[in-house]
Amino acid sequence: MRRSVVLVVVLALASCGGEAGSSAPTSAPPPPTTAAAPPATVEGAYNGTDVMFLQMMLAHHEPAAALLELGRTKATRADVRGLAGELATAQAAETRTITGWLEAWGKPLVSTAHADAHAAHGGLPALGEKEIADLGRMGGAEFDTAFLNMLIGHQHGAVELARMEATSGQNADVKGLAARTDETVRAQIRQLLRMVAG
Amino acid sequence: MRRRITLPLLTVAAIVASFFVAISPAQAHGYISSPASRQAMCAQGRVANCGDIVYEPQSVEAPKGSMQCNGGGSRFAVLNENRNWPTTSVGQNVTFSWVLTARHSTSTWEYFVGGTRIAVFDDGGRQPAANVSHNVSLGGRSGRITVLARWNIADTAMAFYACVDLQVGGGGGNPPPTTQPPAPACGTPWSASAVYTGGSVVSHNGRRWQAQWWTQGETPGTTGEWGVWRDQGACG
Repeated sequence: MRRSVVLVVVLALASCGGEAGSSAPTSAPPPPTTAAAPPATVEGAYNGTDVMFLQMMLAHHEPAAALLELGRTKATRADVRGLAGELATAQAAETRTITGWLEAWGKPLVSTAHADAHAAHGGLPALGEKEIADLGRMGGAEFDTAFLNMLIGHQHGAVELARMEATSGQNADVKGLAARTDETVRAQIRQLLRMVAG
Repeated sequence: MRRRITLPLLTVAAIVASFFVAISPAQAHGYISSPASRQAMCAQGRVANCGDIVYEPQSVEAPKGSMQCNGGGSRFAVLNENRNWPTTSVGQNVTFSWVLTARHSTSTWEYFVGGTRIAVFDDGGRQPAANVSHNVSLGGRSGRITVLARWNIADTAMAFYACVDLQVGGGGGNPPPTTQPPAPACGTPWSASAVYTGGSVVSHNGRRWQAQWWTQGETPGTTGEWGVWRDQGACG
């Protein structure tokens, strides 16, 4: 229980300022696994890119949770609300998996190097606290379009991360996660683009 | 702009540095999603054999001043091809909205038809909002037209390009949204005696609920906005 509390604190500190979203202590045994579920721990050697990819995926999911919660509750279209809910569920599950892997390796959930590199990106992130707040003040069809565009932009970032891992990563399990992320998120982007184009 | 960095040593720091140098030029990108630009059509899967653009429709970046759909150069030349690009039906006033993967200080957004600039929006070097939309009048044009849009970055020599194929006709605005799918089936009803772990989904009172962590004996709908049971919407 204490370790889970520490995890919650670390995840909250890693937040880009959005709401806490779905982070919560899980003192239960892991949920029933299906054939497609990723392993609880990772076997085999790994390199710095593997660690960085997992840390960045956590950092990527954090602002997405706040965005998806807005979409789930405020979107005008039912299909947009439904998709936001599904994505939130999937990302929450992935956050748990990735957290478990980093823990098993004894690696921090947040990279100190990552915090500095944010400034070196050369462009501001699209999903800061202000952007989420601005979105929250919109309504109607304008909200739906803005939400979808922001989500699509954010998901393109996940694809970039996944493809970077595929190129430079070492560990087979982590590269497998990246490959699934690449395919799954691009399928999501296809669906989201169709929704926003009407 | 892409810079290549060679790594003399495979240190973690070097990997981190190269990771972010390689990824940072790809951050401040964007394209028009509605009406769908050619790169959006490719990324949607509505056009086949587009090549690499499907992985990064946001990366159609080239020096300012081109009138080509790919901004000139050799990358993503598919966008310049005279394919049977799908069109979006619109009226005389079109709202163009952009996906931005990261924002970047902006000088102007420009819209052209056939070499004539039909609209310009000057951001004066400011960061764009997270959601960018422009209302553009097509000036009486009709039939099948292609709009070229340019997002001019303020502090680099570069711009992002997006071509949008339109069918300008009678009625106004973009086509209506697709019909909504029916509510999902309710599935397993909640039981007060059962143990549920995080991720479990149950139904109760015509709505679906997902457990955020271990729970037993807590009624869905009574645990509050941030409690254990999260509302997944109506069902049945």
